[in-house]
Amino acid sequence: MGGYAKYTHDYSFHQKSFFGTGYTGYNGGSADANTVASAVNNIVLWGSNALSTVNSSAYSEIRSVEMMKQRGGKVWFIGPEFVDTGVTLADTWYQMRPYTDTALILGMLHHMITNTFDIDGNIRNDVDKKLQLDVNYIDTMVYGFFDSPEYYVNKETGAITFDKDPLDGSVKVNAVPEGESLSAYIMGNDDRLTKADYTGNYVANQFATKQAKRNGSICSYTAAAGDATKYQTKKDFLIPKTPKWASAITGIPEQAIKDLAELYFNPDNHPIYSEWCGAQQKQANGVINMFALQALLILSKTWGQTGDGLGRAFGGSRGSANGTLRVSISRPDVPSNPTTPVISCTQWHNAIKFAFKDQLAANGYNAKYIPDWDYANSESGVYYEDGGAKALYTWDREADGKIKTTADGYYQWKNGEDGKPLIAGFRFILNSGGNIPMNQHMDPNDAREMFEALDLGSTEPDNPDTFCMVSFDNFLSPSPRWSDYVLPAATTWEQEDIISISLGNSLYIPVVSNAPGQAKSQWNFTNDFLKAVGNAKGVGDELATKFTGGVPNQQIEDLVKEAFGKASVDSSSLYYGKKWEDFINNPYAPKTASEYAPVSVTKTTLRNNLDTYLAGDMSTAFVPTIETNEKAGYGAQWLQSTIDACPKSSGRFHVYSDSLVYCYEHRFEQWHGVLASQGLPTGQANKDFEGDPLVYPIPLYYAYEDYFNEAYGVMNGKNTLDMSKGYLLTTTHDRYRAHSSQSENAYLRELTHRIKGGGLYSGNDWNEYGNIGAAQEVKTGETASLTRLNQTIANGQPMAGKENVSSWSEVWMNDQDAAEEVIADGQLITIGNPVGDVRVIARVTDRVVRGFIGLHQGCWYDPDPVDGVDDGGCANTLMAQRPSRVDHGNGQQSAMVWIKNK
Amino acid sequence: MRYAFYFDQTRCMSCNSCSVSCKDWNQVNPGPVRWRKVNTYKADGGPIAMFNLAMSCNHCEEPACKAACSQNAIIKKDNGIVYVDRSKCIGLQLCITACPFAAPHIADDKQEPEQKASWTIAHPMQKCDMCMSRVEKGEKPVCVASCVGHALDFGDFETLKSKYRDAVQLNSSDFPYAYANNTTETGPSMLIKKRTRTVTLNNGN
Repeated sequence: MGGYAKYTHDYSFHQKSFFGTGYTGYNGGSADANTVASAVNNIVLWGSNALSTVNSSAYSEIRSVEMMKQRGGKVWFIGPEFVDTGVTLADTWYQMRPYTDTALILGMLHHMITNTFDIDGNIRNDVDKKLQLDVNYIDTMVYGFFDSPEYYVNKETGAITFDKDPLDGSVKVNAVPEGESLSAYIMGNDDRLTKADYTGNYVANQFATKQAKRNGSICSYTAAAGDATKYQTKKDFLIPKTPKWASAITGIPEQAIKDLAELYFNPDNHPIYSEWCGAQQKQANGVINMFALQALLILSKTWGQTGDGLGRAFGGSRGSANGTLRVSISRPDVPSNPTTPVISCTQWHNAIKFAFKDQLAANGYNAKYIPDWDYANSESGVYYEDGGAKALYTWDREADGKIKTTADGYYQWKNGEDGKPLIAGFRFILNSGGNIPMNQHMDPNDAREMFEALDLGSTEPDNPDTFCMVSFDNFLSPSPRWSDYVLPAATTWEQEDIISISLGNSLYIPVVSNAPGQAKSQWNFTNDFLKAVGNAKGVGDELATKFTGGVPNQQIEDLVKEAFGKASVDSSSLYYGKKWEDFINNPYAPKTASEYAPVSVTKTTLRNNLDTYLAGDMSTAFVPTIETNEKAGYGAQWLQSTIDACPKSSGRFHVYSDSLVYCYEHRFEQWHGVLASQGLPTGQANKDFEGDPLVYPIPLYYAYEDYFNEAYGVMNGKNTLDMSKGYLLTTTHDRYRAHSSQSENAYLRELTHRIKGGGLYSGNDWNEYGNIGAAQEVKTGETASLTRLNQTIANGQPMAGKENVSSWSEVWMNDQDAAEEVIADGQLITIGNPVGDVRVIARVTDRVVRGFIGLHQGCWYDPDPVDGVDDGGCANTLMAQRPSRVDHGNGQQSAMVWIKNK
Repeated sequence: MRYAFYFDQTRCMSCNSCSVSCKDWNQVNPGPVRWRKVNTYKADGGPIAMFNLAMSCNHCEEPACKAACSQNAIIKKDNGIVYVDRSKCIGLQLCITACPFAAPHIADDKQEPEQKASWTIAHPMQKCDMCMSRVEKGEKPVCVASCVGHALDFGDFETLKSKYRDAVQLNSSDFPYAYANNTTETGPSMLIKKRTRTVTLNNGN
């Protein structure tokens, strides 16, 4: 068709994928079930609900933890909601407010610093060394925990020199400026580290020649507005991040914070396996949570030996048995996609707004911002730049598709007939089996207003002047509801496929029953679609034939049959002598054994070398061999001068990442020639509302109050909020909507929905929810409207006679909060904020912390046509349409809500 | 032979795979009637609700439901399975109050819209029959087969007892929350590995 837009990361793991481990160099990997069962001593679940969300490894996880506990191991769960995984596995629940992981970690690190250094900066002798920082290790292996001078390092020898390049292949490592290291920030105005000598090992002794004390200054981060800053984050710069400080933020008792710190830092407790979770990274500042967690694991030496690591779920491992069928589809003639900007997946809506700004405005779309980065007109007054949408121009290409460059090195854009740069944006979306356009994106109310203000492209889908969205799906979820065309898709059991099962082998799925009506499989849809495109372009079936591997209408079954035919006459194959019918009746490929096999704790070569080094006199250089990102992440098309000036990897772990800041500030630069030609800044402005940085090189704690004040328009005086009455809200994945398509499944719906005043599992709108059946068949020439998905609710109440049927999604609310609010279990309430409102049923429970409301994700947006309140209970109705800090991903676990009606 | 269920309370993660697969396999429409229920209780000194119980009919040795039914609609087979002949039920609902565990159920018109020709009333009692048709084919009940955490098992009562030596027969002193209606001793064919571990909050601070 001429190419497609590329995007980076996804709505599930954007911030985790973005940050990865490259900025810190953290190298503790995932554990498997055998390792947990036989080697790990402690598991810390950072909010993880892996048993519910990673079905395929649930049993391995339960069983291996069972075996770990038989050895005396312990499971620690941290989070605002004691999810099913916590109930099943945990020995202790750290009752933490959401979005405060980083504050918890800073409090832990403060405890370790004060365990290590007395107020005069001397190493304490009155504390067990096991409960102190290993300062020699930190000097040797960690960049940015203490301040450090600019230096050159030879990564082959570890030798450090200063002042001028020794021209032996050394790289220049930037200074960690005075008072800007992680420890300086943690200690605030506590000056003990400015009195602590740099001494004791090769690196420290070298640094001491340039900088006698570990930190050159107390915390030197400042706010441009000084004491008048509106940001709590900046008011905290000089405050020591003590366990008491962290306790006030997280809600976790001070001693419990110290206990957790000592758990991680005491080598006797290792191996410690930490399990991150989706919610931890899907917050406004989720990248920072991942940064802080890795900093903790680096500083506590939770790496380099079996079982010391960081991962998601842990399961068994399985391999394919010898002789398993192998099928590959060779399609060498499918055209490759031309180079396009790779933007964040959260920016698709902005890409539409960018392309159709004039049309939207003319049609009365008066949303908060068009596009979102145009913050002068925004509701909130500040926005974290564009995440790549500003790069979506039409590019001037050579015949081979390569984009021309300007004399300055920018990509060359095309101008339109009016002489202005030709904006491409997004003009057509093929939404194949997805619910992102309306439901999974932040602020569906805004998306609805936008889609409704776009001219219908129904008569001219290929006209670039009209936006067109085609949904191909088997659920009439909210996204198809706002599409120009809806094409029926076959279900998974109505189409053949080769699927991959997590922790299992690929599996061929034959058609179980034929799809009704015009519903097509994905394969046939694409094939037929390309035939239609080919006919329109005058190339006939050429495109479709290329898609199917050069054989017209080739099906997956043909390829599997061919492979099976060869295997059935091959005496070394599992399928030797078998018939096709036997294979179809049982297509499961046998697995190799996945029996329990104990593993012993071993150390990596690097860790062994390090431990040997630390046991010696440490007078010579050590070679740490850690590589961290320099030019990294998406949007990394830069001018050569920018590439040349990249901060360099120190060869050590980084808990201070100048690269993180540098990459942010230059992202998408080469696509910004239009901006440069207009004298505007390129890259991304690293400025907040007060002109201070949005992105800092260390994992500092961004106060959630600041995020809400920005997102809800308090910072620029457009709104006022009483946060003392607000509740913090996140959106756990429960078992029953592990995917957003499952909101329509009646058997799962009833487990999370209730009738007004009803008990658990009382929801029963089967056949009356999302029921687009014969009753609503639209005949040729007729029109019909589906005003809403739930046909049992009107004006926020059950319709007459539907009192025992109409049901709403549950929210989890703390029992003591409910008592104070005089809200009963099963009561229908409205919660909301300046972004939107949802009607939900209160589930009163002791499994969430005070001041918190949990609305589990995946409900379908279904606004009341009169008052606009979402009876569907879609969590995103409450989420500000703002990308997350640093990566421009989705921060959809961050909302403050107020109880508006009860 | 006495068929029984086994439930490991330490392994259940309250995912409801058992209850949903039960409704699906047995063609119980969505709605309030569910033959197998999963609930989470606050008990045994735990500071929060954290004791899961997934339970259906317990196919008791002395079924209180059977004793209460004047129509002989409830039958206990030689293999221990207790099932209801729905065509004999006339809706007296004596079984409902007699069963300690609230295992017999009556559907409403929405959940059960069609009355079968053999029934005398619109909604005769229904309950777990241990997936008789599966068991006859040598398969396990669908709840057991679908249990993600391997918390459920099925087999001969004595065989299960020797297989799971730390399990106890369901009883009202260990599991008071299982007894929804009364504590009549009925000899439930249900063995449970009891959860003894509770959670501490904030590491006991």
